[in-house]
Amino acid sequence: MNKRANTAVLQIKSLNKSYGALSVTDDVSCELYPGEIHTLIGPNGAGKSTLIGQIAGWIKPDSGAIYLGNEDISKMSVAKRSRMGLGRSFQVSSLAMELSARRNVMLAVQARQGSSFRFWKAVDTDQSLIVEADEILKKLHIDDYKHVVAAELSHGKRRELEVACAMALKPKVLLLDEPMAGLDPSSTQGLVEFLLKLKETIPILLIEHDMDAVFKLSDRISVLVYGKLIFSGSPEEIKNSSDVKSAYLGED
Amino acid sequence: MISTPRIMTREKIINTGLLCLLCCAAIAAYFLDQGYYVNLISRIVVFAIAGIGLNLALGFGGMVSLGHAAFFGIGGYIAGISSQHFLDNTDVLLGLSGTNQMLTIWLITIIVNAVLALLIGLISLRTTGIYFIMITLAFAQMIYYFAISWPSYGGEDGLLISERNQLFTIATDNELFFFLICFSLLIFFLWISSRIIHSRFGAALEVARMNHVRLATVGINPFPIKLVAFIFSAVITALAGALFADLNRFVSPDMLSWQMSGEIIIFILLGGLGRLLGPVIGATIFVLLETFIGGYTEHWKLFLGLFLLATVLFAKGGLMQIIAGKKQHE
Ligand SMILES: Nc1ncnc2c1ncn2[C@@H]1O[C@H](COP(=O)(O)OP(=O)(O)OP(=O)(O)O)[C@@H](O)[C@H]1O
Ligand SMILES: [Mg+2]
Repeated sequence: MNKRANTAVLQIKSLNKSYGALSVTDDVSCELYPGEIHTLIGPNGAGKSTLIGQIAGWIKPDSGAIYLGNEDISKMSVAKRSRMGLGRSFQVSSLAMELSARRNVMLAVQARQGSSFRFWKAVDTDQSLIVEADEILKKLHIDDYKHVVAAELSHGKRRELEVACAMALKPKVLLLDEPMAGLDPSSTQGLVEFLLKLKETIPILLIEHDMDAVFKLSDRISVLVYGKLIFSGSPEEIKNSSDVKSAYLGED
Repeated sequence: MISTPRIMTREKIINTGLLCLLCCAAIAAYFLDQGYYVNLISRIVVFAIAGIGLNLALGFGGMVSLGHAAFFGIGGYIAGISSQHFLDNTDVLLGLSGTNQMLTIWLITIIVNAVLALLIGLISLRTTGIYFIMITLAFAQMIYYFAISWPSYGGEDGLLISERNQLFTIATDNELFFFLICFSLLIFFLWISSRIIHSRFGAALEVARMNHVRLATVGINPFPIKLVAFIFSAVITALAGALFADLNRFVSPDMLSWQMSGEIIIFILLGGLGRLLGPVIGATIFVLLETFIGGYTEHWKLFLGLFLLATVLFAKGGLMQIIAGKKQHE
């Protein structure tokens, strides 16, 4: 893989964030290159979700910069970043719970089409939304659930639905916060295969605790402990690193 | 919960039935020479329109505005002030004479309230929850006290409208004709708000209420969506205010009071939050209690309170949920 800095799709430059005396992001720099899955692992409370939050725009870093392609997105709103091409899923699902799975994806399709100030035509018969939403649901093997309201989906299915919504945005980058948590083994297998295919077109910054999935998926793994990136390398290097073992893997 | 288009039709049938009932009741009352009751039904209809306006913001957009009386009252004052200047043959502002034509008055009401709602919305929608409630209330109270202390238009006493404004050459003095004007506008705004709610804009608005994090995550900024809905909402409520002034031939600061804001919220809560016909049902119950229990005791609001309590405790979706079932989303 060519790792010249200017090819990075997503670039985080010396990001810092602390809550009072607690430093949750401590001078973190990392990149995401085309075609790869870069996984962040680390113990609970290491600051992984906070990092994703800063990239997506919900949490304001104290200092540092975030680049999507060549563009500094650190000052943009959440919605603007999404439109620029950041797709994400949450550790705790954040969906329109009263709407069906299909309607959740349709909203994302609508957002991508940039057409939310249309006041007249009915959405529920809008083929340009339905067809595309159904295609995405099918790709993620959750089209059986398309008429089920999000509130009645299992936690696992909600995560998959969030990935589907992110896909509908045709993002340049995906940020996935523990997408496998709560999935049964066969769904996990399905999602692993899906992500492996997907990374060819959309690079993924992944947070995941399921180490089997992590080793199957990752091109590169970075270890975050107390807000600091202590190690970054291939899955093989991670397995063989004694630092990582003592700091993280050993605790498992 | 799998969506069943059948229930939608059931709700539609119930909606149509209720509207027909309202219309027939007014016509029957008119031909039985009961002008008083025709006006009473017009009162229901006008309140319902005010509620339909607020329902867009509150029911569908989740914006708990305690300041919609500002729009309702300003609509009323525009009708009253314009009529006064027309009858006195004086200018409202430099060179701008009064009119008694409803269409012109409505147009002015729309413009003035859209601008006002834009300003209030720009400030208040930066906040949520209790702060939003307080800011909308504060704006309405400012306008209320302004109206009270402005002697040229009656101040505390309000302003009499000696002749109802005119729609073309229709005899608006006739109870039935006036009712039909109100009723047509009710149908019109029901239709408009139904279209809006089911449109792409409506989808975004409902998600702004359900989960603004989701909306921003797909790339739609909730703020402009809510702002536009707030403006639509204000304009519809303001038009109801203009009709209300003509109906009563009177406009007073009461229309601008926080109690009025509260009553519009009550119409919605009684009928069903975020239900298309909720405000119609709520306004009907309100006016019936006001008239019939209010005829026996001036403490009728105690009964209103009990009724509201029962609705909130036992039928969160309002009466609409009891008759038509739960609100359905595909
Ligand atoms: N708003 C906040 N105020 C104060 N502390 C916070 C806040 N948000 C997060 N934290 C703290 O920051 C640390 C990092 O949290 P974060 O959710 O990023 O961890 P994580 O690596 O995602 O953990 P997990 O694996 O459990 O999801 C935690 O100690 C958490 O308690
Ligand atoms: Mg986390």
